[in-house]
Amino acid sequence: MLKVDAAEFASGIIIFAIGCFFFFGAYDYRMGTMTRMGPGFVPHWLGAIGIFLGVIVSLSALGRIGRLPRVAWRPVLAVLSAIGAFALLLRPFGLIPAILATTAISMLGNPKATVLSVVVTSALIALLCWAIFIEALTLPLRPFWFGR
Amino acid sequence: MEILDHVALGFQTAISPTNLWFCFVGVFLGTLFGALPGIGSLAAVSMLLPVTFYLEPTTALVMLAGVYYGAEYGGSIASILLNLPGTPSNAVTCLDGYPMAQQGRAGVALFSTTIASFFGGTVGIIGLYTLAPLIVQWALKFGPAEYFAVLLFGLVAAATVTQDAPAKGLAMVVVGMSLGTVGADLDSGVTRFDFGYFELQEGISFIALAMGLFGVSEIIMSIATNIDKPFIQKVTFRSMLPRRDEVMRSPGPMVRGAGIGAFFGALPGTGPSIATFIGYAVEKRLSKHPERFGKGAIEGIMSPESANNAAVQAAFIPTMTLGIPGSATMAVMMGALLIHGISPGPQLMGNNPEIFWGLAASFWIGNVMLLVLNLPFIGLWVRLLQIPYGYLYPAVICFICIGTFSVRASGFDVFLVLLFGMAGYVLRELRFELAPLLIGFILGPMVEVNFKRAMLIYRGDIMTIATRPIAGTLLALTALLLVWTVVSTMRRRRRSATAAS
Repeated sequence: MLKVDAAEFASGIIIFAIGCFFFFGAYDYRMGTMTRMGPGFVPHWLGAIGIFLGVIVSLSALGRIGRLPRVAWRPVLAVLSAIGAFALLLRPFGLIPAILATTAISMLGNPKATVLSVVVTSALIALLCWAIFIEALTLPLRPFWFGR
Repeated sequence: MEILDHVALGFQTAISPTNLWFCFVGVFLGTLFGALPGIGSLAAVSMLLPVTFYLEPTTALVMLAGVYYGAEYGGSIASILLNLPGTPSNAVTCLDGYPMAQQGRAGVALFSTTIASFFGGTVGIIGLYTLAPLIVQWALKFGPAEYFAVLLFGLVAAATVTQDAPAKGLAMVVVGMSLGTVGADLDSGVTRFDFGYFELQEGISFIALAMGLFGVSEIIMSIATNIDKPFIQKVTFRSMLPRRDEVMRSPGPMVRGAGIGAFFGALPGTGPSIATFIGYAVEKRLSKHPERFGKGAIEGIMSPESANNAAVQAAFIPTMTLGIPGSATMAVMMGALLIHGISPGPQLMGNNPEIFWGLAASFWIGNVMLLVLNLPFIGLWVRLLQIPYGYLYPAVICFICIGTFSVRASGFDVFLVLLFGMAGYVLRELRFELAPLLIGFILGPMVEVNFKRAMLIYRGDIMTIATRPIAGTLLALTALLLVWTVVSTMRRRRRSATAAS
């Protein structure tokens, strides 16, 4: 049977794909000549090097055995949606609601968090952020959707 | 002596009450953020960058620099007590620092790393004082070909020096450089790869890139593995005194670490992280008892911490003399200089001597302050880390979001953090090193500009670069490094293959 290090092979494919994106994507821009290079020249050849390295890494995965890593779905989803929530809520609702939502969502990643601990931690962190960033550092952020 | 004049001018600037105060604020906040796992010096510096817009340029730089090296001091605290690196360059300190803490010797580890950090920092500063003026004299003669060669050497070194899989390291540099081409081309003004987003016309915000790749992925990994934190022992003043044999074994690693750190810190591209790995590897190889490493050997924390802080200070050398940031955090600092209308490069030392030498003097004052903050007040930081990680990481996520947002007041950048956080997590799970990606991203545009200029000057003939003395030497070194990497990887692979069969 063919032996493949799956994680290493996947790494090679990812590099190969990114290389292809820049190699072919650069055709949208002028290449120019060696003396006067256009905007497409450098990304095009970076893409070519990427493709080359991707092939090398994929080939080096052959003949060894390895598995794909397991994804820790719970923390991944919780942390990423918390950041998304911050980006969406900050402008329309202000800093405090955005922080409350971000904290609460991110704490879903911790299987041991209780409802009470989520409420208390969110409130404390919101207070902390307000004190540090609005009062002490005077960053131009609105605390709520009303007011200044 | 000229150097004494410089030192005097520097201390005159640094000792003003305003600068002293902001130096203190900087190192204090730096230690605080550095001690929190998940926020490194980069996140801390970018978060505080908008605050310094209202300060004098020298004061702003003094404070941001304080945050930077303060964070590196503080980062070792989390490494030792929690086995979580406070900043990426403190990762090696976990290897022996955490076992020491498990043996009830956390106090000794904290004390020793503080001393090593101070020593390393001092060596780095001396390096800055002595080397920077020499490099400036050379750098004034640098043309695009020389800059191109220096940058290329830095990139290849960053990708290959400590890697198990150099092809993956090089690939990360190339991916970083490719991402660096997003946005307006500096020559033609053509916008590349903007996917129709107005926000991408200025390029990808590298703060978003760095926070996502390092901060967010670190948090996800830490939640997955470290949600149940071990009990943290109390650190009393008495528990900090090392044993006699530990005292005897410390100076060697500390001195070697500082030398390694100052060297790799001064090279553009190879920053503190690489210096710490090499410092550790060298001590393990030199030791008569390499089996003690990983089980709480004091050499295993002295050398990396000394190297780390020496490299942090030495990283200012390429930034201030060539305008080439040695690490991601230095790139933010360079951004701060540009915002204040000062362009770093060979001219800085001549045009704004008070900034250059004032900054250098403030480093040393800041290091003394850190000694005070970390020895008598260590209990404060230990208490901070007693907060369970499950309650700490939401705050860190909020800090990252606010920090990224406030740099350009852009919600789009926060979405980029999300995207790069996901990418960073996947890449780390696939055993990629992320530091080369960031270095490639930062240095990539400079490589492109200087390569294009050099080709214009030499009429498209690449070989001309190789015939210039400085540039040619650097290219030869780069080629040598690549050949050596390929050979040693092949040899290692063959050995492991024969061992397996």
